[in-house]
Amino acid sequence: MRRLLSIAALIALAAPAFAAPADVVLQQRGRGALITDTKGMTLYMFERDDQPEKSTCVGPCAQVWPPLIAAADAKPEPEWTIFARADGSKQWAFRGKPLYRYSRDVLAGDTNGDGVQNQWQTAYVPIPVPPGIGIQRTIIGYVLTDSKALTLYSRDGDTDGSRCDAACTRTWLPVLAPELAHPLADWKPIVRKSGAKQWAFRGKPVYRYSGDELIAEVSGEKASKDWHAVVLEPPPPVPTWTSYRQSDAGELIADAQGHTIYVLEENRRGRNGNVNIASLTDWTPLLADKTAAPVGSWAVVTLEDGSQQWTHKGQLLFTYKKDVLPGSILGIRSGDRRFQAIMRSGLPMQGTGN
Amino acid sequence: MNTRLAATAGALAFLAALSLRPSMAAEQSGTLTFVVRDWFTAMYESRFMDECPEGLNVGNDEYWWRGLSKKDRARLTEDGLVQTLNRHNLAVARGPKGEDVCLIPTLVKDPPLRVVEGKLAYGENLDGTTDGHATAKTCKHTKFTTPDGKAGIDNQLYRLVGCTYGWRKGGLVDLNANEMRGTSGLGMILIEITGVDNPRNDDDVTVTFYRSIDQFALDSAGTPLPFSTYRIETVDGKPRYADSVKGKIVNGVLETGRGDVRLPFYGNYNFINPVIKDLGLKLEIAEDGRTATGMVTGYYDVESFMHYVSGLGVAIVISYFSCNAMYEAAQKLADGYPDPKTGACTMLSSAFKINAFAAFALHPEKQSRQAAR
Repeated sequence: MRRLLSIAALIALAAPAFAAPADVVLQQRGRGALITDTKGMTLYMFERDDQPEKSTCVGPCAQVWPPLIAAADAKPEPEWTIFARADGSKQWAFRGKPLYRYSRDVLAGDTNGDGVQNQWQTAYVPIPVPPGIGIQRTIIGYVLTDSKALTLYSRDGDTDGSRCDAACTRTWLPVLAPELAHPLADWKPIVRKSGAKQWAFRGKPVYRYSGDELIAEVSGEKASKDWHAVVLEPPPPVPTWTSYRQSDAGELIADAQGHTIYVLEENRRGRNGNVNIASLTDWTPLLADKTAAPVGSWAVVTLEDGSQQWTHKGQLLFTYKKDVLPGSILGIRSGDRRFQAIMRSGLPMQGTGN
Repeated sequence: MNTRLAATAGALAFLAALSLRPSMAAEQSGTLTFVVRDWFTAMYESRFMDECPEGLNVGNDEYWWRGLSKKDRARLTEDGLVQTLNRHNLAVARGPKGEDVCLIPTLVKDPPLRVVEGKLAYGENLDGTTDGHATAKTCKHTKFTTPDGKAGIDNQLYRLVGCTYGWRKGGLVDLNANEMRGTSGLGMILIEITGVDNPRNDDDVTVTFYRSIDQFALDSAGTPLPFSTYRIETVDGKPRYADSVKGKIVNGVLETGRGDVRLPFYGNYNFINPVIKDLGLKLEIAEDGRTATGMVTGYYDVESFMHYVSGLGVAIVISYFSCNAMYEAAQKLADGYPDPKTGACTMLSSAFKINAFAAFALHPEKQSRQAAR
């Protein structure tokens, strides 16, 4: 109930910063505006829809991902268009990308479809950023990045002028703006002592950390207490009994003992085909006690025997008996794609072939 | 300039300034480091396949196919259109209720795996015996001789996989794993030799195995650039992998003593981190110090090996072996570390050939300092 109330409050507080048609609602988030339908149900975009105003999700796909059908009297707006599906119905698209609901979202605010099969993402109107600046998901949430998807940082207490001198810039690399750059929303070019222009976001000049090499890396967070990644939106909450563990494939979410938690992805067909899960003796259901309460995308379901099992985005959670050491990921096996670890970043695990 | 480039450029400039050969860097720093590029199961393959007198093994797909009626073959393969590569999920579902025989290898019995019957193999004498009799740490097994005549060699892993196409020349198991490691930055093994006074001859060095979080720095031909810098993976400021063994360098050849070493292994979309018991490394460092080739020997546990094998994905069918037959053979051939309860050995003596490139390892305590340069 509390979850419902908080979602309702979010919807009520949502201040549409962008013009949108009556069939959708924009809910302000740190990285932009989440697009929902008028009931607050999250809308999604499909990676395979790579041609504007053309849906590749038809037939059984469209039953799982119902298209957002335009009302009979709906009229297109700038960036919001209506196109005809193969069956003749009219579907909304944002910036050319068709919009869908997800049949496994139950409550307003659910985002169970985000990341499914690495093909579906929540639909967002991103905050305006200058050319060459991006937004990336990391272990500390959504952050600003440069054109190579490397994290941007700012220094505590910095204002419009940069206090980072020549020695400082060996570690913290100013993100330069073009000579003809103009202010854009929260972005403003400032002039460094050298005369070069540097981008400032919400009044703070932005930099890259020289020690970051990989996409989504945030090593700069540990380099100095005064410098922090520019976090637009914190990561979704996790239950208090979970822990973060380093694995050979990155940081992941584990139980309190450090055992990797796996999602049983029901949308995937694995090597076990339709074999009953109960017969998979290597997998232990992640059970919840009677007082367990849902947190973010984490919830509990009651099983036939009355016990409760944790779910993540509506899918059952397990640990793998052969994962003896904290951070072990022996449950990840080529060919059996149904069991997936939950990475702290929210991104899919690298190297699994999915 | 980023951390790794700065460190690499700095180190190379240092060498250039001193007009040193790279191999002489150790005289200045006391450290030699290599990043492992290739990791191959050491296979001895004779010209006429004498080691496998009955030929090579047949695989999961063949056994599955044999067990089907003509009608089922047509039904399950869309009238033959679905070929071997695309039916690997079907080919392993040979349990009584359609269970995967690679995940549960005891459900079905196939004809025994064809194993090596030859006398030659690469490797080392791991148990110290000349005839392979059982000891407190080993089970009775048959010894090999190396192709250049060294007797008393233990290599039951080769005996197990030596007649299976996937591990032989042209087979995909190791080739795939090396390719994936080369392009993903996963399973990156660093070998750091410290306490080096003379890079060609030193009777007391320490060899530590780390995991790097960085991908190979490659040249335009896709070959790793020697003397690139790699960051060591850490948790709470400490390396997550850091097992060590002692060793010595004689005429540019590093030879270590034996110790238990956990390694971060990645390949064929699988992650395993087996402890290789009694690991020893022999590494021949090139005169110019830029590359090294060598052999890792030690005991590899059957459980880890079979876990890896059963998760090979498409390679499960195009490597031509039966998972359950291999599992059964692995149990029989295991020659190291008996289970205290059953007395059955749990590990396979093994040998792996490696190719490595000289590198610089960036330790955690230096990573932020290096970045500030």
